[in-house]
Amino acid sequence: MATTIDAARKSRPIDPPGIPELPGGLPLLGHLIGFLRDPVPMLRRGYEALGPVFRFRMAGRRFTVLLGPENNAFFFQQTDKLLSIRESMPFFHKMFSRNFYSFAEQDEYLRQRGIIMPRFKAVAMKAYVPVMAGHSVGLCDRLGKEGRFDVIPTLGPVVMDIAAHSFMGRDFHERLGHEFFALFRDFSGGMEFVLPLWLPTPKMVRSQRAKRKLHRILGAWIAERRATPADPPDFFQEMIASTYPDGSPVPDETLINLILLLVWAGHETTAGQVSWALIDLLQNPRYLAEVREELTAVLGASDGTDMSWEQALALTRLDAAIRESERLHPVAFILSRVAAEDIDWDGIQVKKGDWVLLSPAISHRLEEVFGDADGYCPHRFDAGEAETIGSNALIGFGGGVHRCAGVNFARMEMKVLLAVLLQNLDFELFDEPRPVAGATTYWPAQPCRVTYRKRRRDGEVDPSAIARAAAAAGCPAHAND
Amino acid sequence: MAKICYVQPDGSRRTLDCFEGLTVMQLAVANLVDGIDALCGGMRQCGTCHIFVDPDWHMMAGDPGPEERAMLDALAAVGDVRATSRLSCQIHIDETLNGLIVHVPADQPGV
Repeated sequence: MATTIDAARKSRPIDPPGIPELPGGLPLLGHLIGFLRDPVPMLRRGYEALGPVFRFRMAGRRFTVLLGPENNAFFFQQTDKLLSIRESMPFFHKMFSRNFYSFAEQDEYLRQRGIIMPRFKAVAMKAYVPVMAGHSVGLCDRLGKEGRFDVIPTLGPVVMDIAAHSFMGRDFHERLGHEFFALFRDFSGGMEFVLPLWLPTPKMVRSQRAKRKLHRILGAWIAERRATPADPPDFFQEMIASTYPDGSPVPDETLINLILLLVWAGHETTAGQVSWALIDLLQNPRYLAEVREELTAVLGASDGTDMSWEQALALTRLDAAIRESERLHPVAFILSRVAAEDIDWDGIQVKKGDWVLLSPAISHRLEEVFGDADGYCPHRFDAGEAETIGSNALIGFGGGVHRCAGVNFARMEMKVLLAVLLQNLDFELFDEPRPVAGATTYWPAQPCRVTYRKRRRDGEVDPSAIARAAAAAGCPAHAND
Repeated sequence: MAKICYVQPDGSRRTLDCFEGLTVMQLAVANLVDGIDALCGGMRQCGTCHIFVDPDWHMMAGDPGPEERAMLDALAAVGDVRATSRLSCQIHIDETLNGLIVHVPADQPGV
């Protein structure tokens, strides 16, 4: 720590004028301890005392916090221009590699992102709905008639199973199953925002060990699939066959890193977000009843195994519930960039090298942006109701060019999993839900258990109602119905 | 709330609400708007999210940047590129674009 403090002293920046500073920091560490302990309340206090733009320090670095839709828009529009994403995730190169994704040169980054983006388009979700439904029903079968489970450790592995099956194939998932899940939890421990990355903390050592093992497993899997291709090709087969625009093959290490990135980013966030969505529904029985009514209309007496893409599209009340939980409990509670040059924008002055933060957790609860901001009201996202919500207000998946590549997959996965759970089981909260404290993914704190009991399904499907709802959600197959 | 209207070659219109941090392309793709394919995912690499900005909105949407211009120049060799052409992945939506109208071309390259 002495080295960090010395470095902090030497590099202590001179404040540009005009932005209020959060009071109360220690001389050298600044607000490091408060941030590590519980960052969201600290940022909230900053907003309440100082307004939508303020500044604080941590260990010699200066952070400018921007809140509200207009500042969000500036942040997204200026990424890769005045603001750099490459500098803002120092742990990333240790988890992956230096010439990978956001850390690669811009042209290489664009090529790598171009490999995965087509596979995540909204329309591409058609192929994944059966996989999502199958694993969700599998969970219900394993749970049995009644019992109790902790949401994160129960839903997390299902999210991972869906990702492993969707991205690497059924056979991969069946062979490795939960060994892969355990390795991935260790790998995710490498996400270190604050401590120096050279520190051999136990979680960093575990992460690096898991990374080496995952590379070996995935390298062998690529070799096996090259020798015996899947027919018809699945996501993984298409990925290992992909080439750069000039026709040259994508190196195996890049393919391995892309798969690790997809599963890591998808698991870490989706497990938390779907857990919040379930918890929020259980705390709001009136809206839950509306969701159940929609489920009965769309799925009838089915357990969800045969759920179609059109049926999933038609579940618009669940869409709104997932959005409302993303608003109230964004698992990525901050988004970060580093100023690539001196910035002077609308009175906000930021020096080159300073960090710039958005906070979905705070911006999503500004009363002037979302009325009754602390209340649970999915109807605010209904057509007609959403008139008052500004653009760039909901930013749980980021925004602009670097917006989460897997957003369509994640939202569909959460919707299918929730639909199947609610269709098959009745739930009650057992523990009082609260967000986890600490500078980590903003999951519900564990344990957060629910008790469940198998429920009787009944109802007849009205195909015309599904077609109408699917068409309203953009389904091209029903566009002319 | 910013409302963006997508007009198809047959004149049919679809207006979508944006309350997230989206580009004109991302809003279209998330809502399955026909004809905006964005094969490269918004990286200025493919031109398959090409649209014509309605003449009334041309000034407000702004001009293409140099890399976007280069892609539009390349598209001009194979398709209909006009003074109002933009790559929709490069238009980030904010409140100043509330009411924006864009026209989807009859053809996108390679689609």
